[in-house]
Amino acid sequence: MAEGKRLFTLYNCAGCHANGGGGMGPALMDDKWIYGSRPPNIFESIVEGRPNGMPSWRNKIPDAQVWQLVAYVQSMSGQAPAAAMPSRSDHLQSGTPENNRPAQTPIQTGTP
Amino acid sequence: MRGRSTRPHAACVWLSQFLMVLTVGCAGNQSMFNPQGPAARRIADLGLLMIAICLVVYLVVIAVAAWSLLRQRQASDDSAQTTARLGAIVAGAVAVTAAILVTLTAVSAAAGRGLTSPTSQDTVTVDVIGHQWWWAFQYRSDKPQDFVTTPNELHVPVGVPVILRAQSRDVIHSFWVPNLQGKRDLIPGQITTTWIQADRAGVYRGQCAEFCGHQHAKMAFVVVAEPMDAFQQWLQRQRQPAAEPTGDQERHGRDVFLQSTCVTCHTIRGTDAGARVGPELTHVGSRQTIAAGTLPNSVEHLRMWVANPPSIKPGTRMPPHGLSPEDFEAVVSYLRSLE
Amino acid sequence: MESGSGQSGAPVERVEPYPDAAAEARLRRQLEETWHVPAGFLGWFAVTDHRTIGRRYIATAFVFFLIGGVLAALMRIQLAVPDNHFLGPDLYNQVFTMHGTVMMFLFAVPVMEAMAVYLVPLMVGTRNIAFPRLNTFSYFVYLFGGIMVIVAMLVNSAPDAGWFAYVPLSGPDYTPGKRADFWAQLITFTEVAALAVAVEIVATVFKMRAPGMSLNRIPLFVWSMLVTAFMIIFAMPAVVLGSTFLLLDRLVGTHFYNPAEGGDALLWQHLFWFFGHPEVYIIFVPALGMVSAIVATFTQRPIFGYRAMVLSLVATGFIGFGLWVHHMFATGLPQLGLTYFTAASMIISIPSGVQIFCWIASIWRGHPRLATPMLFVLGFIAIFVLGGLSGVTLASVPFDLQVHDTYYVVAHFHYVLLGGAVFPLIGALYFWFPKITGRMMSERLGVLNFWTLFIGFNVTFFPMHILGFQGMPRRVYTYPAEMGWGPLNLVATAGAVLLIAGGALFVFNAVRSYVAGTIAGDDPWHGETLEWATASPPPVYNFLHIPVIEGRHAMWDRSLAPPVVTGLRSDCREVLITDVMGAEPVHAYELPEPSIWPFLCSIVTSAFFVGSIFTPWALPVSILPLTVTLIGWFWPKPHPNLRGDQPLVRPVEAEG
Repeated sequence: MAEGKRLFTLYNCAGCHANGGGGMGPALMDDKWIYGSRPPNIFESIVEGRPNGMPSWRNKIPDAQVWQLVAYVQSMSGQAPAAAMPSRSDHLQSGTPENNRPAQTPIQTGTP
Repeated sequence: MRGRSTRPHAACVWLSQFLMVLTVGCAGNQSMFNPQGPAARRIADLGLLMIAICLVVYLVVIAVAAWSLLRQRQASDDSAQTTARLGAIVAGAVAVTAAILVTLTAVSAAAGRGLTSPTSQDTVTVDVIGHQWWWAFQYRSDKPQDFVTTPNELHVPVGVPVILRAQSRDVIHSFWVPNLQGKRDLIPGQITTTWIQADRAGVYRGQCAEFCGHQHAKMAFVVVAEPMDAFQQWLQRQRQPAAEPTGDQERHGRDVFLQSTCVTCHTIRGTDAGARVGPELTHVGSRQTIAAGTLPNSVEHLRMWVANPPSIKPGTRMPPHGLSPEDFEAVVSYLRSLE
Repeated sequence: MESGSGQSGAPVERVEPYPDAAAEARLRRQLEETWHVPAGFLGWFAVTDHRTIGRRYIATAFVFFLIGGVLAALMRIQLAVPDNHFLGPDLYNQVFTMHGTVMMFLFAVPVMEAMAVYLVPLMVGTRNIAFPRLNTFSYFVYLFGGIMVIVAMLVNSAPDAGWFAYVPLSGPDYTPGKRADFWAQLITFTEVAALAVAVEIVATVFKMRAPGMSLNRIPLFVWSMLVTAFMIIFAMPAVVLGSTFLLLDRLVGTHFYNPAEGGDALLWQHLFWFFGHPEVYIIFVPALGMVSAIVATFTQRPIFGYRAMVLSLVATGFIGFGLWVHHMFATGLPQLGLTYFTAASMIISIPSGVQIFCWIASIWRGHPRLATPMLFVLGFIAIFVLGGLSGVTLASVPFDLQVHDTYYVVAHFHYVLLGGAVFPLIGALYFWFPKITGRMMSERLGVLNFWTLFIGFNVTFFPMHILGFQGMPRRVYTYPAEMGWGPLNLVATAGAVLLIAGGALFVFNAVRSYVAGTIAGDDPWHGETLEWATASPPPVYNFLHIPVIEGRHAMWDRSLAPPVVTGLRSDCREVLITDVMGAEPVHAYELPEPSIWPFLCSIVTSAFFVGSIFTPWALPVSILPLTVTLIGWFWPKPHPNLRGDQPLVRPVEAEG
């Protein structure tokens, strides 16, 4: 999860998703999941891309690293075990540390 | 059970071992006793002086201890007179110790003062940015488009002091090239400064000297000292964007590069690749080493590295490529062409 | 009183102040019953006797020493040849971190405190250490902390950021998982244990000395432990604070060490090294006391320059707090600060020099006998002086900027720690083994042990000075072949084999002698200090009668019919409290009975410490059990012997 957090910044996911709050892309730390909140769903979202602007990262990010991102994305809405989630980052804070976020129950919201 | 007279014998063994091995310490590329610049020379001289004094002190103390152990006891040993004399001798020894320490402090302070500021005002400034586990050296200029970033290879002009402004992007590292200067830590949140100067043209190896994680052991760099004109030429060449690939394989390699995982981390100026996660590859073909000083830069080593970085530096962030063999060969030849 | 009687092991004659043998036998039985050590399974956890706890502490510390030694062996195997693949970087980082952590926190400080726990009450002439239940608590907290971090190591969760755990590397971003949390919490465990023992030592030395042991008659070993205890009390809080900040950063999201939010990465270094430098003197100063005890006994003369020796110990303790920045010379500090810390780091060699010169003077005027303990002292002189001199060179900033974080520093601190602390410790164990177990260790094996360790040590660590000069940095899991560091590393590994053999030999000698060694008698060495006045091993009540001290050298200055303290009750655990300066008797004090509650409290405390790594709920959940155990611990005992006309405490007079 810590590695996924680092990759989240390195691959500029924050460019559209900010640090979980969203912007051009949907928020990742709330309870709304358009395409499903299970790990295979998130994996597909990243690798295949999604309509409305999520690019496909196939061949750009190796599979092993995608899974790390999947784990981190899950932790952003508090859905991972608290003892495993990352704590505060070593830069300016943009939100509560992941291990302090309340766990959100995922809601399928369908296509926007 | 009587013991044997062990002290003098042990001292002899000691001395011979010490002298024999000390000579080995003088040679070697990354040796502090192979100074190639004024700062390192000052430190090496100070070091030799202190080691010589310490050696003498050590031998005297061991000799006196051995003699005290082995001497013939006399009835007068317990007398008040002897006790008073012993007291005077001990006090004298303490005074000599204090005098030696004061001298060493003064000599060290004098050497240190000469080390803080460069030898002349005519300096070149380079920013040193430490990452886990590679170095970025940035040469600024009046025009931002002339900024040059060369990873893991620092070129300096001979005989000119080079000011280094050091910072870290992640954890604490330490910039150290023993042939030229003492080390300086790179601390996140601060900028620390030091300077180096090479008196002779040559290539000097340096290494990270503050534990920074998995690949601290393989976070090395080289300092290439060359005459001022050669240095300016090199800088000018570095300012150029990447060379256009000439052959088909190299062109194909560039296309593969821009469409695969490589582009998400590396910059090649003159192409669309602009990510700053990993080292800049604009002139990777002309560098002496790759993987932060771990491997000499050759086709074989480049292949080994790009094929499977974790096999060479376990823990590195660079993943193995997922390319087909032809694409892989194409990328390698493209990188080799980036001189 | 000449030497000679000590060699054969025959007991020195003691004078019986009670001519009536029957009365004496009655007293013995009563004291044995009053001071009995609880037996049985549950009783093992309730023991508060300082000798038992001291023995357990020493044995446990040695288990950690062996673990640390195995970790060192793994490191040396990996580094024996260039580009080795025996340990990958992750495993190597865990191994070298654990080696340093185990050696510094779980072996070096605890074993020195353990020697004090055993010897100080005997040397000052009292029946038990002050605060005996706290002593028991401290041992179990130490044990559980050690178990926690060893278990963490066995599940691939050992700390891996170095024993000094610099931030940001050990912070939440760069060390994910619980590794650094186990490390930081180990600090908490060991510091609680160490502080507890330090407090007990100070109280015992200040207030429980036998009458007549004024300040200028305190043995040098007791002085060294007193100085150490004060250093512990002043140094430990800094690292507790620093490690607590680290835990808060990692678990709760504070920003003590986050420069982007106003914290500072260097704050960690200051807090850690403000503790870290005194820490090495905490390890070293007790060894100075041990050397004094051994030199006096094996030259059969008082140590030369008692006052200078005491003042040197105190000066080392004070000056040791003013040096810490010499670990940070490369961080870009202002010039004035650098010069001050250079000067301070040089000056601290003066008190150590005074000690060395006084010992040499003692050897000069004494009649040295080269038994095993004395051999280790001579080895200490040869090794420690070299280490001290390399330390003087390190005090110089320009030189340090080249050799900092290289194998030169590794060589230096092993010379001063192994040579300056472990050699005296091994010598001290050979010296006091007869007192602790009642049997002598084998002298033949002892001499062999010394030479294996001495030669092995030098072959291992001397080449590291050269490696440092040649530019080999520390904490690297491998190195390239073309650097030319291979041969010296191989030599160092070969020496390590010899060192391990020496360690194994020591354990073998100790175990064999424990079972089948020659019976030692009370005073086999014709010792100087009070512990030799009682049986080997001492009875549970230490001394039949609390002695009255007649001179600086309790055994050598004893008259033929030495005065003793009378009037202390033998039907309850009464000890004599004396005043700080002149040890005049003040009043009698009843120590608490053995109890299971300190052990239960240590369980709750340990559960709280470990639990808080995983959840903040650990704190509220632990408060209630903690309170319960503390209530049990401190529940006042209705005094069964209190009678209306007899006060609970009363002054006693020493009679001749």
